[in-house]
Amino acid sequence: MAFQALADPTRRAMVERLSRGPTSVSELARPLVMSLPAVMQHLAVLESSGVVRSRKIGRVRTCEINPEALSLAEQWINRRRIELEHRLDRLGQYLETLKSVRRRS
Amino acid sequence: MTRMPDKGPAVQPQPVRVSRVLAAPRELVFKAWSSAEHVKRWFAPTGFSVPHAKVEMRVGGVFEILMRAPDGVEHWARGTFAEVSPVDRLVLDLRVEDARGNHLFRAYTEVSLADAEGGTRIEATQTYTLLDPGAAWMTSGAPTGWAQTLDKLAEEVARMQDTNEAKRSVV
Repeated sequence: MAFQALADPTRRAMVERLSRGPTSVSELARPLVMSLPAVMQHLAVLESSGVVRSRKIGRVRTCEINPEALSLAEQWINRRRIELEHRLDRLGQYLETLKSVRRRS
Repeated sequence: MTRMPDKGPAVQPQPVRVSRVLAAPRELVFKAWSSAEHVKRWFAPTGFSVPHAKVEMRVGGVFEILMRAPDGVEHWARGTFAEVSPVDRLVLDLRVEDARGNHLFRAYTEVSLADAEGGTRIEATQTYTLLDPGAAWMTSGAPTGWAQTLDKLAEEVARMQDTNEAKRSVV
């Protein structure tokens, strides 16, 4: 699931960077070479969640966003919001019923 | 590199601090920083090579390293020695640039050595001055690379000690 992958601020920054277009792993970590090993670890998490996919051309690994994985996460949040709205609608209807009962009594 | 959207005013990244006890005397650990020949063997994370290094260990002297990533992409760290106090302390004022030569960071790197149980405690503190807000998140991964680099430094001082041992046994 995408949410665990997106829970980390560094991984969200990487996703924001990749949203602007595909890039190589080294380019992603540039300029701070000391952070490159950590970037590789974060990429592995992003890849296993499906949020990012990569392909290797020669020696260079290029990463890009997988829009379907983000769309699945978005759909999940949307479904929760719709459920919540329906519940509030039902609460509203019930309150209306209570009001009309009180008026009649 | 372009700016990250909606990050507000640039927040300077937290300094990165790493520390390790190396099984070698302070003189030897200090020596491992002193020449390109030594630095090329260890100053990079795991899987990286250092095809070029220029090290002039004196105040104002050049410290210049080219690191080659496992995927072949090359990264420069260039700077000067700001302080050289044998065998206690070294300060490197490093500038980090992108591929087009734009300045992105200043990485002020303080290294201190102290006697410790089992050898020498090395402590490195890297303080960043951010010149490109879009690069702020990158420093959060630096401790991983530094830990790997200190692993390689530990191997290098062990190798240096073995070589000394070998020389002594011949004599």
